[in-house]
Amino acid sequence: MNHKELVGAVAARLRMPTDYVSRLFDAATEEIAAQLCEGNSVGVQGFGTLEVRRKEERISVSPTTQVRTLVPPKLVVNFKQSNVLKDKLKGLPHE
Amino acid sequence: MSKARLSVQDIVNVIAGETGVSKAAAEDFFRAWMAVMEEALLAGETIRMKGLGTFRVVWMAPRKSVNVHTGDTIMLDGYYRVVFAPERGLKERVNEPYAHLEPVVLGSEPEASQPAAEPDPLATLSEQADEIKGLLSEIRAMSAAAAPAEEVATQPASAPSPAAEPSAPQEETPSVEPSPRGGSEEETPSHVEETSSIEMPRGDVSTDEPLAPAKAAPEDKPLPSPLPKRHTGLRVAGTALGIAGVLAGAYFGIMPVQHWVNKVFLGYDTRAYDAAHERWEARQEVPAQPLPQVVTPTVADTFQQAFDSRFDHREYLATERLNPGSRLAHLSDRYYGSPYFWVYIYEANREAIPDPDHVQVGTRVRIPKLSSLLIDPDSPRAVEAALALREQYLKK
Repeated sequence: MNHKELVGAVAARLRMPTDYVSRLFDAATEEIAAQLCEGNSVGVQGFGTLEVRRKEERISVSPTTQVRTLVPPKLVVNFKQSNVLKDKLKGLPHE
Repeated sequence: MSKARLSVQDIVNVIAGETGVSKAAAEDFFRAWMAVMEEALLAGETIRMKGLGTFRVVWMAPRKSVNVHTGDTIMLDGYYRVVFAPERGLKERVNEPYAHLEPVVLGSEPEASQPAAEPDPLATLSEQADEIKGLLSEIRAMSAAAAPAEEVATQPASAPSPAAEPSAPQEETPSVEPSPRGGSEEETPSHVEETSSIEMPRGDVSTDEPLAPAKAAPEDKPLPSPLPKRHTGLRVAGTALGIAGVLAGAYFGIMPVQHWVNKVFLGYDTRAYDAAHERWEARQEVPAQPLPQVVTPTVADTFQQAFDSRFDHREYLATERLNPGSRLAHLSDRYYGSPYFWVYIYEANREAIPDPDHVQVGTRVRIPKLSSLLIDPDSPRAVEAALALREQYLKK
């Protein structure tokens, strides 16, 4: 499901025009992204939490060449699903 | 890291404020959005959103684990998990505070598993080597003076213990010329025990002996060239003493050796060690310090000089005015070729920069002229010194 389909699905559910939904969508994603950049986390009840985590710097060793590289620290976005969502996902069949 | 946790309500308020719709409508939208996402995910679909990233469901395979109370092996069920991969733009935006950092190649270190090349223990090892050399030259001077008499004296004097020494140490020090008296091996342990019995019980020593010198050998300076045969007994006794000293030094100085001896021969409990060793290893995670120090001590020394005298001669390459968005690291990258050396710019402008993390727009910074040793991005020593300074300044 790409962005367009998602917007279409939300619009259909709300019975609203897609450009209206699209506008809200842009505002929402922009706000979430901005908050993440500030280091804040965004939690959605029943769905999960988006948060920023700091990965410490580390020394990685190439297994073939044994070259050691100091990898700098970085900030990454992490999503943690809520237990509610996890339980719902348990209902999914698995081959 | 996380400063605040925002709820749906906070986001909804912002959406309403920015788009001019009512809060209720914005909330309806948000709920619908989440509901659609959930449905799609439960249907196993992948959701790609502009401006954020991709949500998808992955199957975490069942895995074995251990019940910590009973020690039984248990099977953890597989489960589905929603993972989020931020799109490139968001990823880079979030990581912006660290965007200027790049991986530094530290060079290969094949013997990383057995970190014998430690800065501190090494110092003691080279001291030991100096001691041995001093001893040997003393002995040589002595024997040169008493050359005629010695030939008689050597034989009986060194008969019981020192003469018995040659067999063991000579295996490890190839520069020492092989001794004719290699047969009396059974006496070796008793003598070595005298010199290093403090930490090693009898009987362990003979097996233990090859270990430490073998490790120490690469760092040892080559021993003086072999003497004529008749001095062998005395000289070898001196060498043995020296090696025993090196052994003791290695035992106390190098943790893994100590640990190995304790574990293999004495059967000590090593759990406390393991914790200590981890700390010890963590301490030496500092980028590639041992190598340059060992291989090129002169470079290290001139580096230290350059490092210590970096405040002495103040010449400036340029004066820069900080624009919005410019960072000290960027300046460092431009003038020194690597972002790591911004600390030196900070040092030169401390009175103008109260906080290196938040430089004021419009601040005029002077770019100091530095010794090329200090700002060589290929030198692990230089990078490490800069990183150490960085730690120091960012902590405050």
